[in-house]
Amino acid sequence: MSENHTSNSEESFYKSKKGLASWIFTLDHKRIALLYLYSIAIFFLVGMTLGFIMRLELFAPGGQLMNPRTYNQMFTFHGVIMIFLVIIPSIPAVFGNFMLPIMLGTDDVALPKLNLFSWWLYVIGAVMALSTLVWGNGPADTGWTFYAPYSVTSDTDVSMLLLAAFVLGFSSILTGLNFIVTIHRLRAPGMGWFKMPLFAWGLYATAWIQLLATPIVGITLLMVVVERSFGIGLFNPALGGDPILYQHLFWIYSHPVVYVMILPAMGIISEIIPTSAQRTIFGYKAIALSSMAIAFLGYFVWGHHMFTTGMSGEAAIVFSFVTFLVAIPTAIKVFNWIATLYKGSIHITPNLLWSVAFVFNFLIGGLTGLINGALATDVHIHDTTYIVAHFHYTMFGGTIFVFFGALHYWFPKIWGRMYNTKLAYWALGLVFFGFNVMYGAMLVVGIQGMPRRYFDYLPEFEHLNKISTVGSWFLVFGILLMIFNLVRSARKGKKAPRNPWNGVTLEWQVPSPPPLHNFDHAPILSEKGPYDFSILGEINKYETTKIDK
Amino acid sequence: MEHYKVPNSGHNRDDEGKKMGMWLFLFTEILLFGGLFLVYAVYRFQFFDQFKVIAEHMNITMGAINTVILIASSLTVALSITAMKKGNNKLAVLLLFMTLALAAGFLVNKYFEWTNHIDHGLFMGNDVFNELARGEGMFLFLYYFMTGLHGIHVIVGSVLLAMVIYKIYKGKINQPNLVFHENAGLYWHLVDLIWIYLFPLFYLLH
Amino acid sequence: MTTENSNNMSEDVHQPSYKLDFMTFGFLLILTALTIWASYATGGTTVLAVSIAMTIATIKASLVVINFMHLRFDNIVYKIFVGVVIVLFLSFMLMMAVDYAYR
Repeated sequence: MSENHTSNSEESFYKSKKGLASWIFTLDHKRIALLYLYSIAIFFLVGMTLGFIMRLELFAPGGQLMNPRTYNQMFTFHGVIMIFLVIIPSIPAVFGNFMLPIMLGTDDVALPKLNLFSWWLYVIGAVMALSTLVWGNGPADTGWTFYAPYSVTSDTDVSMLLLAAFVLGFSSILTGLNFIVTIHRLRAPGMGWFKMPLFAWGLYATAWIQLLATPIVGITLLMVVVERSFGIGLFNPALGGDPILYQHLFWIYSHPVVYVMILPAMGIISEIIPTSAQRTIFGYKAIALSSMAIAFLGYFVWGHHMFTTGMSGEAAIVFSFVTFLVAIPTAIKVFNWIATLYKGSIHITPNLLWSVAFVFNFLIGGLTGLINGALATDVHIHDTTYIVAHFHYTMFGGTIFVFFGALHYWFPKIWGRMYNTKLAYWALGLVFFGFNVMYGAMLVVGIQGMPRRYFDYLPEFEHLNKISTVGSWFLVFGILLMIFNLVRSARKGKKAPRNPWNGVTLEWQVPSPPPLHNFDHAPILSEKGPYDFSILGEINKYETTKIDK
Repeated sequence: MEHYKVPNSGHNRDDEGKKMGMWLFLFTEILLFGGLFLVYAVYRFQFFDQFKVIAEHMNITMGAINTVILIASSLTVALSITAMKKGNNKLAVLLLFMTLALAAGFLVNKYFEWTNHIDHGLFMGNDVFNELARGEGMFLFLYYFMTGLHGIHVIVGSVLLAMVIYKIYKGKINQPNLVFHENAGLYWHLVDLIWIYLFPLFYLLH
Repeated sequence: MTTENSNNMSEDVHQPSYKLDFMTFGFLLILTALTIWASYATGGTTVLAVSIAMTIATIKASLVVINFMHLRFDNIVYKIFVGVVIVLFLSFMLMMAVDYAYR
């Protein structure tokens, strides 16, 4: 970019320019990543608050805090915020943006202007979504899936929310597009495809899903908008349309998108575990290719959301079968992570414990998923809180736990300071305990027959719902404690060294926080791949920061 | 420590990267229309006979003329890139102006087609439209949606090509720095590509 | 700055030419005429008419992609990309057909 920074190249990217405009119009991938992080953090807190209030409502049967319509609007908005504004952009847009160029040994993504444009689209989409709270006929009450025909007939402001999702979809597409070009074009000299860090592989697989699945839901949501405007029965059976067709088109995107959420998370786990065990990853190629296999298979399983809709039995059998196939590459990853830890010299850190908590939660999330994927059992548990709990075990216990873990892992690199480890453990313990109590109880009460998205319930479900709500208190308290710890440490923590965890991927070879152009010396690459710990000494000799103990 | 500049910088000029970005974007465009083609396929399958009945209203001659116009415009764009590569900027600009004229012709043609349908009451909300069978209404709705979206792409493509002309005049595009020209061309060919499928699906049902 | 285009060697041999552009145009015109003629000739038979129309359209689309969009001059990676997108879209169609054909 600008050449006048050559004199003080050691200066961190925070200091290279000042002022609000230098942030919101920046082309620096690190600043864009932080813009995403702060916006996502705000929306996460909003979504969390909505979830917390819903849990309070369910503390006892009957209306406690709100009327049923408000409850419907709340779970819709909770879903839309958490899916479109938080989880989908979370790991790719924050850690992908910040770390991918550094991990590849370059100074920015391939198309920096497009990267900024993606963030602006994200902001525009977010404003459009939030605007339904303030004016129009009130926020949508359809659920985040916008199922037809209700989304066509609902008198709430569905159209605006659909258009917001459309814009957010394009933000996500352009981020993915940028990452694919970056990985193809900007790898450091000498870094072949199989010498890339596994996080880059995760992002590559993710980017292809973002690129090729998102347009289909985009046009589908647009069709619903037009249908609402012109009164055409495209998906409305009363006018000859086919509501199941809507579900097909919706899930062609929305199933692959759960892999958009989980694949980069798995990539981060594949970074944290070798660093924590101080040994090379077990089965590098298997993990890399299983990401691609999950991305590919993920396109052909969407029908498992629709087993009870009246889809043909033949199609249900095919979709169920392919669904089980996804378990294979997923299991390959889990076994490889465990094999990497086996007999490694394990350093217990908050980021490792978040990762282990992820593996535990994801195991439950994955195994409960097999029950949904089987045709006979799915009929029993469909549309119960069991599904809600399964989904949160994979998305919250999975992706968001990794997001938190990644925050702890890369915190010293991003802010150049260390956090309070003791508080971090406490926060992790509270979140882990609260999470499992809350969603564990929901799993059980769902099997007993409690339907999802219900504002009221029968008295026999009261006991478990109370336990679940109490769990949510621990969960929220733990998250707030974690945020407090990180926010305080970002300003007041002690200075972090270049390589606090003794990692060997390229991001540990740049100063903490990195300067504008990332690298102050040619990146050191090992012939043996990205997790060769024998080059650790060579990497650490570049340490220049004085650390006060 | 000295400032180190990576050789593979994201701020280097990388025409190949830009071209790859354009191709990837075209894939999203294809799948954007792909969703509509899926809807079309399902309803064509469900309302096969009704689709045929309503397609009587489609003017095959107009559709064929528009097809030829788009193919010809694709040719002029491709020729203009070839001309630029051979260093013949004047010919390239002339060909691009021809492309814009053809694009305008396409849109005018489309406008007369649409207004003709609307005059006959074949538009959403009209009395004639409301009395049509469901599959017939579906066909017309898809027709307006898909050709309308395609028309928007024609307009966007024309704007891109106009920008190419401007940049050639300003000397910002010249051999071998043609990536903007080539990317605008790729976009234009995609517009043609989609029409190649729209034409038989909406006009040739008899 | 020149880019590391792995195609550099072959590009000198296969250049886009006016002749190629005009030939592609000619084929596209012929195929357009053919598809219109075929739509009358098949006279409304269901499966046959649609398959012929789609086959001709696909040939036309391939001509545009390969010659006008210069895929033939491009790196192998673009050819793989295009292949993946086509396979993916056809698979979507196939999977949905399994539902609609048996419902």
